[in-house]
Amino acid sequence: MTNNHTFEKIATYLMALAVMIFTIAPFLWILITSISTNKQITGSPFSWFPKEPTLQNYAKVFTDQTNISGYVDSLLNSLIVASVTTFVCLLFGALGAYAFARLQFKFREYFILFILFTQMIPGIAVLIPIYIIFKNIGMLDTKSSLIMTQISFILPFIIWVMRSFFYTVPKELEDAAFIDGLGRFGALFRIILPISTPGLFATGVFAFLNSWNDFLTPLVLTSTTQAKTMPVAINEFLGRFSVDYGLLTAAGVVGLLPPILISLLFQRFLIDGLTAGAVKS
Amino acid sequence: MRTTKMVSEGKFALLLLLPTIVLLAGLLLYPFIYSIYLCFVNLNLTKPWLGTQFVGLANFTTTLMDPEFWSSLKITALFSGFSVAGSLAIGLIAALVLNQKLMFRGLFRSLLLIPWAIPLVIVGMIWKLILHPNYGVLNALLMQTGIIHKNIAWLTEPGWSFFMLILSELWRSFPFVALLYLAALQTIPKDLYEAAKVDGAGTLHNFRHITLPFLQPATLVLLVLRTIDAFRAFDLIFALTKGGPANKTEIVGLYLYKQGFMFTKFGESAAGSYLVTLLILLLVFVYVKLFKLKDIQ
Repeated sequence: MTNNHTFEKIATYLMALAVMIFTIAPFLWILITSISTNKQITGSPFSWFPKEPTLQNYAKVFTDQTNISGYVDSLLNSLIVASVTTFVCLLFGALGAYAFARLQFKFREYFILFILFTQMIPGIAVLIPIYIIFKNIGMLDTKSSLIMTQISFILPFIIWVMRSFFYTVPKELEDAAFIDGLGRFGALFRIILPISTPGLFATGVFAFLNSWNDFLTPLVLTSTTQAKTMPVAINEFLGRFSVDYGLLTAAGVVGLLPPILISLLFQRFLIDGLTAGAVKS
Repeated sequence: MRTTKMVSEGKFALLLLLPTIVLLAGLLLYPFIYSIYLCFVNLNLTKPWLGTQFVGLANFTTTLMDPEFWSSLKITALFSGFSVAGSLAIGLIAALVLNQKLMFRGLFRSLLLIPWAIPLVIVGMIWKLILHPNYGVLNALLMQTGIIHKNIAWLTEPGWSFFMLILSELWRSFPFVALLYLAALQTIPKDLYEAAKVDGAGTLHNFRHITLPFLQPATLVLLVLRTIDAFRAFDLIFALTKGGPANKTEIVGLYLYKQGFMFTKFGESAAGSYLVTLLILLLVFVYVKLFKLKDIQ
């Protein structure tokens, strides 16, 4: 019995170890590559860890603009686009979700259906007209066109998720707020939103990750460092004939940091939000 | 008193939804209708003097008669099959393991977030590097352990490229499955297992009769989400192989992108997108029916 138990324990740990190695090894490998010189990366014999780890690749990411044209600009673009998109999605999302969760109005059910329906629309099909629209009004390759497009893609999902968070706020709290003389906006901003902070965090992280990681939209809508985002820049770099691998991986690691930091920082809300809908249904 | 002081619900709702309505009308509803229109016309962008022509169902028939469309659809089906089945299997195993009382369980769970949270283009970059024919770590590992004696060009050899694509896709997609299953596992009441233990039931019996039924709702959700994901895959393949070698990894998302934005065949690209959407809807419908059928039995 005890022997059997120990065996099971060891087997479980071995499996856990295998899963973790599979998860983390690829990530560790680009970290190692990013602190190696190109001589070490391309030289033989193969080395598992650089003899003299160096941060020169990271320094080059931020200073050497000839080799990695406009990468810093693209990072800044990503930061601006993702921040604005997240903020607007949270604001409009909270307002819209409140309307759906609490108010009775004409066409309410149709609106909800429309919100669901938007999730089925194929991205490439609508990006063609969006491209044509922005081309016609001369707004291609601008951050604002990218931001607006991303918001319209992400917002329906945010409203849908936030609505379910607002449902869990007891209606009595709101009624109490009305009696205390708060108007509808007051009740929304002072009572409902503060209670729903976990939900706001979770949806905010979703919006940020969606925007930061989005590749197809900026690939179609942007072309120069004026609006091009990080994934597009990495892809261009990746497609070159001769690649500076140390520099590439360092650039990649820098581009990975924001999503990793944010998802680890908010992981409690994220995992709850991620799983809430799927497990209960 | 309340009614006189506050705006009516309908007006307030309109006020709250106004920004959303304006944005979605302009950048989702209008493009959607426009894209439906595009399915039935030829814009003649290369011959502007011809103007826009109504072509009926020609965009659909051209797409349906294009062998490249069918081969990309076949690759997409294979890709989705392996990706969905593989990610659900690995995800379930990972969740079952992490549901045990382990040291560092919290850390393990956090690490799972990394592949899920990062841009797919960078996932592509990571695997392109690992699979590099000359400097890649996979070749080095296999050479040093004596499993292979010559470097393999994983991404450019037709026999390997598809499987390497699946490998990197699984790395990316299994953590999400694991996290969802883990949450579902934690909803199973512990006393069910204890009662079964008293009855002398074995681990396998418990898994089939307690664990699996509890995981069913999560499984349906995962099947639907992962299938939609896999059928719409684009970024990873674009970064990793661009469809090569010899279109061996050209999934339908890539095909439609090329049609639309490289060959400016907007009509055919839009028509193809809707055909694929129809296919996804059909699959989701089948999943839901299958799961309902199981419930009745």
